[in-house]
Amino acid sequence: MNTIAKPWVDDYLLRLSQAARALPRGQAEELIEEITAHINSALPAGAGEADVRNVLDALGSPEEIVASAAPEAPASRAERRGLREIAALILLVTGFPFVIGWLAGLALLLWSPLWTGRQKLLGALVFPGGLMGPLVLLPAVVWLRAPVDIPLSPVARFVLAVAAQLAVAVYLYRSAGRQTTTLHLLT
Amino acid sequence: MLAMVADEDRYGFDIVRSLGAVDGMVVAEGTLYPLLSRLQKAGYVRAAWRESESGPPRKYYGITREGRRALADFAAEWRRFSAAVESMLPKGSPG
Repeated sequence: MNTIAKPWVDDYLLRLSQAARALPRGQAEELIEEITAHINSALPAGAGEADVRNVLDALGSPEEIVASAAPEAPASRAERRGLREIAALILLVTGFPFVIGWLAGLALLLWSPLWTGRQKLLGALVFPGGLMGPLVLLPAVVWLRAPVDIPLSPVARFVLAVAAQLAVAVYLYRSAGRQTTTLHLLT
Repeated sequence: MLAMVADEDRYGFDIVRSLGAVDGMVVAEGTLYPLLSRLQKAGYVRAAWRESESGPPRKYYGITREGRRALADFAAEWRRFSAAVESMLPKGSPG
């Protein structure tokens, strides 16, 4: 390597080794070795500044290379059904801690890209306050002795409400999983 | 990438430059090295150092039996997918 190319290459390799600290050691060493060999093969003997910069530009930034070497790209991880989706459903169903849990679940539901707008609305409507909702509302209704005569007993109403919630939760869980597989096919 | 080493063993720089020459495949060349190492870890390619006539030894990559199978599976899947998309696109000249 000639004197024009050397400072550029040294600087590039320094940035690469700094970025590669995020990788397991063996993997980092292998990567630096490969990139160094690439630069040496790519540079013509009398390389000028423009040649060096072209070779380095074509490689991409050291940070970009290291990011692609990380086990999972964060972008694709975000599109899989994971902790966020499961937490959203658990919080929505249980609503625990009271109100806050349900609100947190709602926030996660809206944040996830794996559900459509319609499914999000469904999740938000069918869990009015989660399990805590019926638990709190039921005694209140019984105490007030609602003038409207509802044919179902309070227990039956409670069971129905819970069953509806669980059905929606299962539906949302499965559709998030399906969404995951579709996204996989595209990547 | 597997297709690049399907016929003969090649070294990293050679593979990366050939891929770069294919239209529509232009990416940051450096990101192809991690991909190669991932394929190696998955058992689809194997790597071995070889002396080169000019300069230091080079790491050569070749396809494994498993890699060949993965490549065939992908090619079949890709043709199916490509044909499906093709059948949905409007006929005639693009644009």
